[in-house]
Amino acid sequence: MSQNPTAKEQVKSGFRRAFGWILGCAWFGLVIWGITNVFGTEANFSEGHHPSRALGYVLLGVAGVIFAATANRWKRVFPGIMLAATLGALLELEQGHAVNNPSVLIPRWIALVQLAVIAVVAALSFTFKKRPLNIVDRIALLAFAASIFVGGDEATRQELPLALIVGGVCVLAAWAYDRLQRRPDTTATA
Amino acid sequence: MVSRSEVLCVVAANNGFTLGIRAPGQTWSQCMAANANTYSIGGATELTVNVATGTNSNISQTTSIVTGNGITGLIFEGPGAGDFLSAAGNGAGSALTYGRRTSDIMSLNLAGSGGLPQVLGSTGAQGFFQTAGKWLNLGLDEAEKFAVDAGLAGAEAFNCAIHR
Repeated sequence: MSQNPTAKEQVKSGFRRAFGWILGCAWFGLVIWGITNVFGTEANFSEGHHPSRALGYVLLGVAGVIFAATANRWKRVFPGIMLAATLGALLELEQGHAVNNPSVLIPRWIALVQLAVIAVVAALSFTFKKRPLNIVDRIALLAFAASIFVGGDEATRQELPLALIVGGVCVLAAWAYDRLQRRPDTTATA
Repeated sequence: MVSRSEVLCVVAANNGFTLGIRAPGQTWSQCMAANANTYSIGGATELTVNVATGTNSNISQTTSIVTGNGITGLIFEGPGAGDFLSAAGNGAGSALTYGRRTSDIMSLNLAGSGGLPQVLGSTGAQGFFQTAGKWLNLGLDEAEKFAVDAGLAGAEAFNCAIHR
């Protein structure tokens, strides 16, 4: 877009952003549908509906491929999502329960671990936004996304969110790998 | 003579269409706390999936740190408000219908002649505002999640202002 965008360009940009969020919600819905089918029981389905493990795995696979393939498109909102997540982690720490869910209690020490991991990933997310993402970045981000679901489940069961820590380490490793790749080769100039 | 509100009530009754989500005897703050999960990205998406696929899940509570509504989480907190089923029940039929009308998700600042501060174009303030605009634009991507949350919070506040 040009330095001084026209009204039409700004309207287009606004609709593009809104449509992007709708697509993001659709992706999240795909994941929820997949998880419900893979891990759900008959109790999670209304009459006439039954869980299908195969369908669930297909849905999660498709969602994973979409997530990795479109990473360069959604990476611009990644820091914003992580900043909001940092606020969420602070709220959990202060309130002692899941965000918007007072009945789901989260011990303070677990909330503190979550806050530490989320804050580190939030800080790193700004570096991801600035550069084209390679396959290592995409896999690391996919692992982190999966860790939010698994780690969140662990936290709601009042267990150490080990998965979230592993996901955070994956993002940290991807960042470190990129730094190493970009480091100028000092031996070549000698 | 039939008033406009009476006409709206008749239309609502015919369509099974309810605007208000506040239960009888419930305060506005209690309503906001009780429906906070439904009016978050995660809760609204999960409710849509549940209705569309005939499922009953509460996965969004495990991802609430990311998909929860930080704005309503920051302001409203009430005992027992996190019961997903009651929250879904209170918000059913309203969140999906009215959430889409939250025009404040998109900030469309129209360029071109006319409208806002034209006088600044002829002063030294123009450079300042161009620079400030660039800095504000730098934070636009980062603010989008908060803007979506603010839109959902606005829709919830509007619906909680009206009794069922």
